[in-house]
Amino acid sequence: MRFAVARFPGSNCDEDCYYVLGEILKQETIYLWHEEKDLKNIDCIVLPGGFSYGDYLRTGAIARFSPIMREVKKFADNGGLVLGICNGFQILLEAGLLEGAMLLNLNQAFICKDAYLRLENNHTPFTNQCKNKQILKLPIAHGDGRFYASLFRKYCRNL
Amino acid sequence: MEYQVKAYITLKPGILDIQGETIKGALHSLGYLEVEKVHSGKFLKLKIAADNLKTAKERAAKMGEELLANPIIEDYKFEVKEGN
Repeated sequence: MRFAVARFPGSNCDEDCYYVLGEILKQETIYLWHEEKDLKNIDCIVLPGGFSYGDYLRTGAIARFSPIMREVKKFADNGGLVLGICNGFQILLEAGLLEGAMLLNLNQAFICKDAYLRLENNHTPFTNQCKNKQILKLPIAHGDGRFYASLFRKYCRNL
Repeated sequence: MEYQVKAYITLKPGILDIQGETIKGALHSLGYLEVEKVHSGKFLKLKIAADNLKTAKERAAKMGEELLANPIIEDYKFEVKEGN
């Protein structure tokens, strides 16, 4: 597969993503600057973590207007695979590609630790190598990690 | 014409405002026990050029919808007046 890692001003986990995709998973991987208007025939784009535009206004609020996001939306609408990690996920929320918004953590602290998640659906391109109900240990690092969606219950059911 | 836009952005009612709660706790610990509620939010002041007050208000409302607030979690209120 051919992967791209998007880079916004303030992305800081872009090199980690590039390393994992290219060196660990041995996949062809390119960087795409946020002003890019051509996704260069990729199969999957990863929006990495960081502090795009300094998190000004709201996390991801300004990055969503980067030229590349118009292309990412078209790409997703046509069935392209899009993975948003941390700030990348926040950008996808602000861009309306995913439902919901992020709020400040309840303890007012930046949380950096491992989180344990139970996989609820292994019929997605991102999880089909996992067993259903498998517990995954994933590292988290965020200040705005409180997911909020007005239709949260419905959203969960539809996953 | 120049107009001044003051934007007040706050979390919607029902969404736990953890900053406000923390500030309230700090005020209580300083002895201000009369404080019942603290709402935190953002304040932005914009200077904009527009032909008239109506246009200035319309433009400000569009800015609010498109960028300044996230309607899923935030409410916003504008005060628009002539001058800077």
